[in-house]
Amino acid sequence: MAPWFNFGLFLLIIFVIAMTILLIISWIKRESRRQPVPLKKVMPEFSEELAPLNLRPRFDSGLSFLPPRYGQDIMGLLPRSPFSLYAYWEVSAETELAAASAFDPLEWEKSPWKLRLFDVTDQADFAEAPYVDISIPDGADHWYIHGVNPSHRYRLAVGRLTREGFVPLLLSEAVLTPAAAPSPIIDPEWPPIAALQGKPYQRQNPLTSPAGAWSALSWNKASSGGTTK
Amino acid sequence: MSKGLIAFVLHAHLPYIRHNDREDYLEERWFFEAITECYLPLLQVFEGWDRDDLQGSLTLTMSPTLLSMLADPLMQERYVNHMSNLTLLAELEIERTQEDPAFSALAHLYRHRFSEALHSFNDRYYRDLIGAFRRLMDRGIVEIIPCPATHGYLPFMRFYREAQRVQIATAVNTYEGFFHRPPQGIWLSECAYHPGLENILAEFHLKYFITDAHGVQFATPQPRYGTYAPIMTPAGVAAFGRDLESSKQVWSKDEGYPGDSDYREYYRDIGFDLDFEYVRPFIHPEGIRLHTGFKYHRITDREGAHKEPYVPTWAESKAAQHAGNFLFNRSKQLEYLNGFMPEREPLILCPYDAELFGHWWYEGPRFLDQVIRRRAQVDPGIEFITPSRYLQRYPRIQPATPSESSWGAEGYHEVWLEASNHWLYRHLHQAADRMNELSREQYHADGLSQRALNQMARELLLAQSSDWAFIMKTDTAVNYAVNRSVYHLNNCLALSDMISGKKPMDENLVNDLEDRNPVFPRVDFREYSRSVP
Repeated sequence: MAPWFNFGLFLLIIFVIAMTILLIISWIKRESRRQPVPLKKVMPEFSEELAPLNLRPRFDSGLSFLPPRYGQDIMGLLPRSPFSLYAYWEVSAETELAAASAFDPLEWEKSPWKLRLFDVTDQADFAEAPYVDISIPDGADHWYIHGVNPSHRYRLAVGRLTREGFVPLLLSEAVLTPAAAPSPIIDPEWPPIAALQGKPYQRQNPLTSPAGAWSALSWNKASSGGTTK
Repeated sequence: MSKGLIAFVLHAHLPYIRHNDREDYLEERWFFEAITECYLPLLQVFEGWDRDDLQGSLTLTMSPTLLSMLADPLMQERYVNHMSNLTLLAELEIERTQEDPAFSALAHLYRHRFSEALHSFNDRYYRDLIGAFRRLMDRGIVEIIPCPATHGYLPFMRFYREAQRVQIATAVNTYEGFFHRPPQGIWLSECAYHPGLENILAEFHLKYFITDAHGVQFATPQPRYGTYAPIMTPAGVAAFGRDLESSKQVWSKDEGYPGDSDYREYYRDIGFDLDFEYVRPFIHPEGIRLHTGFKYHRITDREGAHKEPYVPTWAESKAAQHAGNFLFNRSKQLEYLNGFMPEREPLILCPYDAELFGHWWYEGPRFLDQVIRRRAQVDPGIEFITPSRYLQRYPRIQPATPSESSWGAEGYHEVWLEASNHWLYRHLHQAADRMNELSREQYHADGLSQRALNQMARELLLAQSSDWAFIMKTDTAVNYAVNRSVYHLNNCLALSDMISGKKPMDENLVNDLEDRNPVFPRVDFREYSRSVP
């Protein structure tokens, strides 16, 4: 065997050893730069999550229904926008009985339920205020009223329309609908600068003014709502 | 005098989603994700401003429910567990993507960011993020204000003034407990305002609140400066209106910066994209796929389904470019406004949900950082300010009453009162009525009755969160929102029956509810018997 061959083999072995050492050093260096993995902390959770679930009942397991009725007179009226209101109500049996006692029971039962919406903007006394009647189905307990006017004050009554007229059973508080345009009122000390008023806010409400404001027809068309389930 | 003023207001809020009974509530992830993607990156940005002596002056609202969860050791522990799990997933991701240069770099990036978040949370802030924000307030970098206790929608409580008042009283009380000073102003939940609300704010010496643009534009009398200066309500609380132009640039789904093709795509996540068995340990234990936080794509094309890999350097330079564009536009806007109101600096108020920055818009914190950093370069005439500093500078404010409004779609209350959620309000009103009655009848209650009354107040407050109605409307986590509402309302009813003597007092129930829903430990039911201005 030629001596040069042994020398070549020797060099090759040296080279392989040197490369191995280099690789080990660089691996150690890289590992030392790595963020330690909190294996001890994570692994038990990891295995727990793979294990069959053994958890306490959720907060909402066995949740009971909310009372469908509270057995009281309840009436709420809320503005939703300059052009729409929302009302909910519950007429207690006592209130209805007291009102019905003045009527023939059969006639009372046949009298349709109505909402009467009073515009108390200019006339605070609702009995004198203009109003519109809205038909609602028996058993309705809430209603959306669309097509009201911005910056107007309203009160709502729920009752029955008998041959002798409307018998209110519940009456809401007065609510003021929001404005939908800049105020016409100007403070002379602070006269508005036209260029700073911005573009009118682009709202996509199609009901910019109620069609035939106080006609019962448009109200019925505009109104929508649901009945008690 | 500067060319004009910009007031950034970031609203940080999460509903109270703490559940001590088990750890598999998906909703808790909102909290974890918000810390990692939003609150920690924002802290880093604010601290950078402080370090580099930049004039930041940003207003941050932190909701009392969010503060309660940030301070809660259980939630802190769960955050740490969550992040430990994520760093493990990061290791797997590095291994999985090693052959793919585009994704491999991102996997390394996420490992770095998640382990950094965990490290900062544990070892830098010692889990006390509120303390970190408080220090920034001490340094004058941010001004922190609260919002109503549980983000209650105040216009729907207009006939329950005591309930409105307790939302504010609890907010102020919680705020003072965490920040050791009285709040300067308040963020009204959903910017929802109705005339008269300012009287309650004045009782707590709050100096200002924020409305949407038309809250000020439609004020009575008509405001001289539109939304470019605040107005002063008769109660002496100022109202600042949102600027629509700058809002649109950031907020708009179609034209806003966050929709740029280089930004990270939120909706592509390995929780949905990868093999079920691979991601299973990191999703919901029942196998519900969810966002893990590993998102490897950029928006590419807003409308298209094809998504290219995310390139962080492109996204970062785009955020800087957008910040420059934002400043340039504000500079032009202020220049224009200046011509009409030389007597005072025009104010542009830019309110955003804090969670937009980082969570929905991953590069949002960087954008914000660049807006502050590039100001001097783009236009040194721009000055950043907080509403309270504005009021110090301009004590003479036009008297006017804002118009009823909110910042929801359509600008009023339809989002929170429509077919999906209207049923809530009769029950909320009944519960508030019962709370008022009982607080008067049982004013001197002590012992178990007092505890039951205080817990009833907590349950009522939790039921009143506007988040539940909002979630019902947006059809996202509807069951959870419906059940949370029903759950807290039922708890109110059960406690009220026991307090009024209709049912025997059950100490176990009181203990259990105190344990499950320990929000606002200092709440005092007697607040419901106070007369309201």
